[in-house]
Amino acid sequence: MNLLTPNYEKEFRHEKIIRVWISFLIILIIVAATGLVFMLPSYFALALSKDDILRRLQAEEKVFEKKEFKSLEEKITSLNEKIFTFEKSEKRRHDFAPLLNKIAINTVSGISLTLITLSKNEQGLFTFSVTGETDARDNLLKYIDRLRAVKEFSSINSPVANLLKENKASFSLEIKINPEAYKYESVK
Amino acid sequence: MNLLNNKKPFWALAAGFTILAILGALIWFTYGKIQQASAVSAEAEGKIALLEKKEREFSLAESNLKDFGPEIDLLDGAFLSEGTFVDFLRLLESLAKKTGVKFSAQNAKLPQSDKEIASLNFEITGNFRGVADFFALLDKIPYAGIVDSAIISPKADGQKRTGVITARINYIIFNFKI
Repeated sequence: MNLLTPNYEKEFRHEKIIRVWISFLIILIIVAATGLVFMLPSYFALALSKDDILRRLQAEEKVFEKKEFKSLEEKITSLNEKIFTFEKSEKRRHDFAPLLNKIAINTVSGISLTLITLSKNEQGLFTFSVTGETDARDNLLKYIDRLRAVKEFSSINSPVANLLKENKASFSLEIKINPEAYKYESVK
Repeated sequence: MNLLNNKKPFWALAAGFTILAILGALIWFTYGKIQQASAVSAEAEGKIALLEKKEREFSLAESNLKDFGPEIDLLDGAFLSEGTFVDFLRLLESLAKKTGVKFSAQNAKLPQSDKEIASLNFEITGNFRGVADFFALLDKIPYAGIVDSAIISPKADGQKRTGVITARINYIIFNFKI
């Protein structure tokens, strides 16, 4: 049952809305004030610690400069460069003795070598020039066959002149060395 | 009491909004300051952490350098220079002595710029076994290099063969410090 007269009823509703607004505002103010109160310690803590952190940074930087890390860095850089050069040089290195041994151990009886020359072309590929004497043509052919079976040699060039005489003949061979076995790589 | 003439709620609302606006401004200002200080602190802390990390890494590298001292000395020893070139000659002489061949250095070319290469011309004389052993040891010396050219011929005494051979070698040295 409503005791209010109709003309006051409107005023009463208006008053009610205003009070609800005021209550809502009060709640908002309380929330905002609480938020501000909680934010302030963080603000002060950060503002005070900021200088402290900056001082620490300055101190760290000074310590870092004093410790002569620059010279250590240079030392490590030069050492790394040296290691790089060393590894590169080791990769460019090839064994010569096994190749010479292959030429010598594959000789058959009746063959004597008089000159072995190692030379290189512009591409850095090596060739052995072998001259010698053979007592029989067959022995030379056998020697050539043996050399052809050596995987370190890519090709054996024997001029026809080597085979003209059947006995007691001089010969010359050109042995191209496989680049994987022996090659000169210039620095790039 | 006339409810229509009551202005209190209006003033209360106005005061409420004003207080709320002041509080909002204060929160915004404080938040901005917190953010600013926090960014500066975070950046500085990041820098400190980086410096500390670098310091730790350098200390580790320093101790590693000390630990690997003998290996570093060996690495240094693998590089020839004008001052240490005589060590290379001494090494070749000792190889010749070991293998029973006669060694004689003929000519040396030392680089004056990075584009040039160091090389040594030498001659060894001995029996084939000795010469082959010399080359086998030469392949394993610490100074990296390669036999660039070789002329191997028997040493003849008139028409007679003596079994002695002579090898004239040009050896290129890769690791040379100017």
